Amino acid sequence: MDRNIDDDEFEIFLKQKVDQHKLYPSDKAWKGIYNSLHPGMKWFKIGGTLLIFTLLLIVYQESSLFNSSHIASNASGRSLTKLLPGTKPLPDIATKQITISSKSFFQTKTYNNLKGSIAANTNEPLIKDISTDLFYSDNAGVKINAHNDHLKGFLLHTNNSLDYDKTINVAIPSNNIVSAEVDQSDISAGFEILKPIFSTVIGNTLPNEQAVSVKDFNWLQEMAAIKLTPQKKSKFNLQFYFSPSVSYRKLADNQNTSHSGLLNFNVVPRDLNINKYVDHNPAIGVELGSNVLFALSKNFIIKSGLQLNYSRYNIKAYKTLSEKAIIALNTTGPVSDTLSSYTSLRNFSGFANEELQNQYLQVSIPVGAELKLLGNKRLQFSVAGTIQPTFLLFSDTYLLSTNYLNYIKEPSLVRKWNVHSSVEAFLSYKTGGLRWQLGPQFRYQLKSSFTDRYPIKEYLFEYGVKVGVSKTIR
Amino acid sequence: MTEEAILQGCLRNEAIAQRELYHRYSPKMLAVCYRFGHNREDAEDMLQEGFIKVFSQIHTFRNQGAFEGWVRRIIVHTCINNLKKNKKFNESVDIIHATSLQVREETVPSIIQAKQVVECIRLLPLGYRTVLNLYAIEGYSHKEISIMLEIEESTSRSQYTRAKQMLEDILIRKKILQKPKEKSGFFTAFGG
Repeated sequence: MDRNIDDDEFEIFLKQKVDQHKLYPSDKAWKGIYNSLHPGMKWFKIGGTLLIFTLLLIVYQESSLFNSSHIASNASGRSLTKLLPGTKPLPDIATKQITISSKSFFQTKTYNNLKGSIAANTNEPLIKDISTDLFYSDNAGVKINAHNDHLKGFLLHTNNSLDYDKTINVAIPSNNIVSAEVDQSDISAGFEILKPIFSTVIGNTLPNEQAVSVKDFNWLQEMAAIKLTPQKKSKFNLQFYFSPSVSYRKLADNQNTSHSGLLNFNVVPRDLNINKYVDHNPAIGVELGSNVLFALSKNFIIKSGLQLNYSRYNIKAYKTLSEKAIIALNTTGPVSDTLSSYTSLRNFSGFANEELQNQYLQVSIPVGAELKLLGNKRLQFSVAGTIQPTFLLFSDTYLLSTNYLNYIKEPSLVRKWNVHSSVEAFLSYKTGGLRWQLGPQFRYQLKSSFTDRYPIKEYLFEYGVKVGVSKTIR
Repeated sequence: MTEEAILQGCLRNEAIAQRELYHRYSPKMLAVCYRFGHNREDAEDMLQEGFIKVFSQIHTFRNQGAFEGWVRRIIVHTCINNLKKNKKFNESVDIIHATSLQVREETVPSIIQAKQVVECIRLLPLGYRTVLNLYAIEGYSHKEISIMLEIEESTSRSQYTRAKQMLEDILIRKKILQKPKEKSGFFTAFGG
């Protein structure tokens, strides 16, 4: 600054007073500076938040599986069952859950003074019908190890009275097992082993035993209440969707009548419908999004996610020589405030046509629900609705001047935060683990595109066809 | 922290030093932006942009002159660029923004007067206000102003003369200044 003149007293006074003036910025200003200087931290925080959220989701899913009475399925797709409480976990093999419904299939044998392994006693049969390595509760004290290929039955063990009609868990390995050994030291006197034998016994038979014929065994296998544990279905689904849509707008004039005096004239009477005085046409936009769906019940689902919307519409305008356009802003006080700019675009007439386009790119978090009205597991008809808090990422908009004569751009009057609502109806079809859906959708903006300072209100709306696909999150 | 330590920390891109520097100078710089800007929101945007430039160009500070003056120059240039970019500078509004003053109550009378003076400056049309800020307060010459604003030097002078006259009228009307009885006398402030 190379001024070399004496400041007069007025300027000295101004400088003194102005230098005393201080203003304290909001936290938002520093956050913006910090994020700009340390962008990595911002992404680190976002990434960290996403990672924590993902971990929580995984932990929730794992805990749901852990708390259930079933463990992970094997290659056959059937659920395995856990053993009786207090037992050790089974190896990863197929299981059946069998209800013992008849006493006649049982034989009992009391083993007293058991010496060594049963297999060593030639008068006793091999315990060929033991199906697996069954580990009993601590009270039972018997450990059975089983090996061989011809085993078809199982061994039920209890140190109490016989438990009929009891559902038990049995593990049957794919490579059947046959012989078994009983460790003497684990057996207490008077202990009974229930041994439903329904397989062919190889070798010696037990004295006074009633061997179950193959026919009976087969009947048992076929007719017994074999309860296969159903695989527990996750209630979470992940959905992706896409919707080409037609975007349009509705205008409303909300000017303070006191402004009319500032403008010397009004081209259009204040009370008439402003939509008649603009020439605008819909244009194609698009919506993309992803939702997480949670089934509260068979027919009712809540959902939330992330969505991007690109909306636009065309405006017919005319070129003219550069002229001043004024927007009389809405103010709370008695005195008006205005904003003016120079423009070469007119609304009504000019020396050449000009096609303008207002565009909006928004990101929103839709929160809503779906309700199934009709259908079965495969084909369904549902309706849905969401409320969508929205943030404007980008816009390119032309605004009308107060007298409706001109179009100007004023980004500061465009509202960043908004709320949308949407309703849709769709048919969905499930195939191959995926559910596809197709149906119409209507989306409406609840607050004006512009701030309250701008006297004209604009409400965007879109209608289109939504295509979506969802899959269960395992 | 001393200013030297803050500068060294900022050169190493340390967030603590940057925050300290920001807290030290942001109140005054926001006041500068507020005088140039359309509203408080604009002023904060310009402040944010200005400080980002300060931190990214801090390695160019050569210890020739006060650091505050160096920061202030960057902030002022950021304000001017912002006005030119938004094309708000070229407007010529005939209506004075005679809105009621929104003066934050303070216990010290001179502070109240300072706020009142600033609000009166903000009542001026943007073009007048910019030239007045640059010439009378920031101390730029008309030649420098003409280069910054891409106008003629004579335009800068005439704009300043009109701005000064208009501001004097506003200050007198708001009784912040007393009209001198003699032509050669100086303005005196009410209560000050």
